[in-house]
Amino acid sequence: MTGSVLTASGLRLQFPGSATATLDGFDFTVDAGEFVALVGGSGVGKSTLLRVVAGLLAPNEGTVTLDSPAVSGQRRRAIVFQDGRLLPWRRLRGNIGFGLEGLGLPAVEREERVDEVLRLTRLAEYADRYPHQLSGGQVQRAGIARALAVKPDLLLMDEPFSAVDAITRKTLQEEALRIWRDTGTAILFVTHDIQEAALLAERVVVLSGQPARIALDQRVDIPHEDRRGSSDLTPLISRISEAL
Amino acid sequence: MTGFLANRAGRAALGALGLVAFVALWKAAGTFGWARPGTLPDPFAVPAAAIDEIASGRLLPAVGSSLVHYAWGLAMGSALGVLVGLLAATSRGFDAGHAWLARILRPIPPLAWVVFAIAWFQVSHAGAAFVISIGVFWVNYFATHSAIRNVDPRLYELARAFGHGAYLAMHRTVTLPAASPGILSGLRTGVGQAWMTLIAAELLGVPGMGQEMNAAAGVGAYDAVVVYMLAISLVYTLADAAFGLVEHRLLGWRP
Ligand SMILES: Nc1ncnc2c1ncn2[C@@H]1O[C@H](COP(=O)(O)OP(=O)(O)O)[C@@H](O)[C@H]1O
Ligand SMILES: [Mg+2]
Repeated sequence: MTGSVLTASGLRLQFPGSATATLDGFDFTVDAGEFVALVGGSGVGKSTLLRVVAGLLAPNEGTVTLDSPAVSGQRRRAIVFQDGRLLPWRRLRGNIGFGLEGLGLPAVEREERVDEVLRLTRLAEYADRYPHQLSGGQVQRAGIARALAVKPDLLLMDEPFSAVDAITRKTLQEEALRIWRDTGTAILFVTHDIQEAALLAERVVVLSGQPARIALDQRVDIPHEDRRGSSDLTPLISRISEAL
Repeated sequence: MTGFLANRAGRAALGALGLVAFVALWKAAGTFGWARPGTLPDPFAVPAAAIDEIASGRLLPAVGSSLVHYAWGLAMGSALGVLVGLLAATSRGFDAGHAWLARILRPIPPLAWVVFAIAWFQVSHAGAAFVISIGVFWVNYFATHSAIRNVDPRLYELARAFGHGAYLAMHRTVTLPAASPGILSGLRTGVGQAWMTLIAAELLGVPGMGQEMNAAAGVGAYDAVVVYMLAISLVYTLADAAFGLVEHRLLGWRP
């Protein structure tokens, strides 16, 4: 796959009652299949940008264009929320199928898609549990599974691993990479954790200031297998820190 | 003592003791003449009075007739209350349009409508059901409205993100299930509220337990009045328990 999946141009967003804009004249693209980490301090506007890109928040100015072709039975973008956000009255299976409803898929195919992502996220044995019967890590994986079920070309993740313990986070980071390779979807991954960004991304974008600007847009060419515990990441991490 | 209370049998024993103490006090009140003569029935005469009410063929038809008012009043009041509460909580236009009207009508007690119930429906089952439905309506209206207003807005964002942003889809997939604990608890309160107004509504002369009670009191048969009071309590307890089972089934997803 080549070309871009997302083009955002001239975005301006100012919350009512706020003295300054959170985004102003903001341009941004994500290439097909690319893993982009979006890093920035708390309150800089990462979630806001993600919600605009997800189509959940209308910008005051500018446009968000999805560049991949629309395919039936698919949603071109899907989001994973920081808080997991499962519907407590649905079993895991029902939660994961949530985005498939209304896509016009036959019930059999919906079930197949759910089974497929349950396997991909290693949740198959929990399919009939209610959310309150799942661990924090399982809830996050469920959020990822729900997003993957709609076969997005662009997966938006808002600090998806910030609420889980360090050991679970490490596992989930590895799984995110595996899923990214298996599915070929582009990922826009918001994090405030520099280390996490450096470990996962092919491209690190640092936001800072008010309105938010891109302070650094850096490709990372080190293979993922060589990154964890490697000193090769040190220059990158210090460049990100400076940009922040 | 706390060990005794932690134990099921212990609590049951205390419960029975409380009941016995109440009956003893009641009996003493009669024996020592604490109430106006002839107005306090002998508790030990109540079982015989109950048998008499059943044998004479008054109690069961009265219960049946009351249940008709109850079921209709409850069903109409619940359905309309949930519907209007839902519209008010989900449609800004409807909310604004009905707000003043609701504020004016809300404080009027259901029994004040008895006058119109008689005027519109004469002395009929429909009249009693109408009066009952008004109290039930308000209970459900408020319960539904506030349950929906308290739905976590993040769930709506989730619905929009996954293609359920249209009015019907959103309220079917998120609002109704999310608000269901509150809606069901309103419905259950209505099950009780309907009983409360039932007897008063029947005092207007529609056949039922209220009317039988009034008739018994008129001839000084206070033991029969107690029989009807206990019958009301029994039917309510059964209705509430049945509803509790339904609620438990529907809300099995809660931790
Ligand atoms: N719904 C909202 N209404 C008003 N201000 C908001 C809203 N959401 C976010 N903000 C403000 O916009 C700025 C960016 O927020 P956000 O995008 O959540 O930051 P973060 O980078 O931590 O994700 C913050 O100053 C925040 O207070
Ligand atoms: Mg955020």
